[in-house]
Amino acid sequence: MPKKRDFLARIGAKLDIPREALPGGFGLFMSGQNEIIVRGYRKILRYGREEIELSLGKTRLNIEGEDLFCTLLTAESVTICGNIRRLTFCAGEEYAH
Amino acid sequence: MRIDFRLFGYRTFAVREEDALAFLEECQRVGFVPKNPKRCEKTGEIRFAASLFERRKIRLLKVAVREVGTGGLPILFRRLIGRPGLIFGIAAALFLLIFSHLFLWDIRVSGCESITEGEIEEALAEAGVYRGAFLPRTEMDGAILSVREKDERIGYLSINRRGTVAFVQLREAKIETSREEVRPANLIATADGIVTLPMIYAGECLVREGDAVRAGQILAAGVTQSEKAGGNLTRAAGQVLAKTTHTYRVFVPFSYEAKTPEGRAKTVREIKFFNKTIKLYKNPPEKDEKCDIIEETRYFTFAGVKLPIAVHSIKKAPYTSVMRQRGEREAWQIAVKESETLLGAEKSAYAILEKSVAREVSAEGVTLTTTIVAEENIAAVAEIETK
Repeated sequence: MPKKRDFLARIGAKLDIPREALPGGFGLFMSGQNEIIVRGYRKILRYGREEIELSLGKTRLNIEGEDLFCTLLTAESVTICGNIRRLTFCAGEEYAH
Repeated sequence: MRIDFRLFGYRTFAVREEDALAFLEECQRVGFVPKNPKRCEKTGEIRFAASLFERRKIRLLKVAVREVGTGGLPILFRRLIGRPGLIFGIAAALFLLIFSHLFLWDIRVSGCESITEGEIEEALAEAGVYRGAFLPRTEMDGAILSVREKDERIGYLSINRRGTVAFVQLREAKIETSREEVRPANLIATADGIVTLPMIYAGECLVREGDAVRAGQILAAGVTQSEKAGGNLTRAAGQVLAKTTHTYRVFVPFSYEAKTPEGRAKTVREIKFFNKTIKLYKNPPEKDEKCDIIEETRYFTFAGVKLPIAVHSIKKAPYTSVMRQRGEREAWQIAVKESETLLGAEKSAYAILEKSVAREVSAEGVTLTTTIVAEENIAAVAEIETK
């Protein structure tokens, strides 16, 4: 499986295809410090005013800040607004509650 | 709020903040995208909107979701259907907005002196200019000519239409009186009496103080004779004060017809819109009964302007006639009261010198005879017919 992933990554790089367009990929778009759009997320693991954690497949994205709020949620993307202070990527597919 | 939501309707829901994660997971599972999500600062709830077509998806959510509001045109229409008065009002407002400028709403008449505004409005109505007239088919010039031809008292008439209001300017014709003044005339007595003071300014005085005159007798002649000029015609003028006698009789019967109200008074109301009358409800069949009829028309006003809408009410108070008897004393009191009213009305015409009252009681009633000896002007102008 890792070989396949590497292969997709290499193909993407060769063909100049964005990573989030390939299976298993994701993308982040930040608009200032107050809005972040995450594409290719799998699941919301934790939801609170000061912390939101998203599963991105193999990794997890931890968003920390103040007054965090999910303003748009679709099957492909999630938009989070608020005063974002820190973004952390952690290894591990699922967050253990 | 999105325009499609406004057009096709929407509902707003609330989810507790503790259930936010479960709610988002459920949304992902069901494939529902919450629209316009907001955090309610007061309650801490998360509020979102969903279109009316997404009802099924909302039902599939396994999270406690509370409906907090609705909106959009379909919801508004559903509310309006339950209020026919409002729909009628909107329809009437639209109708007035579109068609009101085609009708004459008001007529304002200025310049009336001896002719009343009502007379002018009646004459205009006959000529086709009335409140509610269809303006494209109303000929103002023709109406002006028609009214001026029919009424000689009108010297000048113009109608200026400003919007839906017709401003009528009127100038009354001046009737020449100079010709009448030179018409020869005598002064004749209007009543029998004894002359106390003849005051003749023009013509030949034919009576003296202390003369007894009969009604119709010439007091001052308009035809004068002189040796130099011969016969001369003039208009006699002046006053002739004379002592006259007036007798007033008031009869009050002992038995009289009294009205006794019977049953409830019924009021029939109609709406008057311009010249049209709309009955509010079907009138009950008329019964053959005696009743007092009181009619009243109340016009609606808006900011001091009289609107062409009125409520016309006809109140019918039924009564029965009953023969009753009154005593001599009561009859006498009524007779005195009636006599005083009668004298009060004529008091300004003469100065009372003597007054005597005679009372007569018969089987039928009481008769009060008042005899007045008064001093008054008995001279009246009687024109002489000349060729």
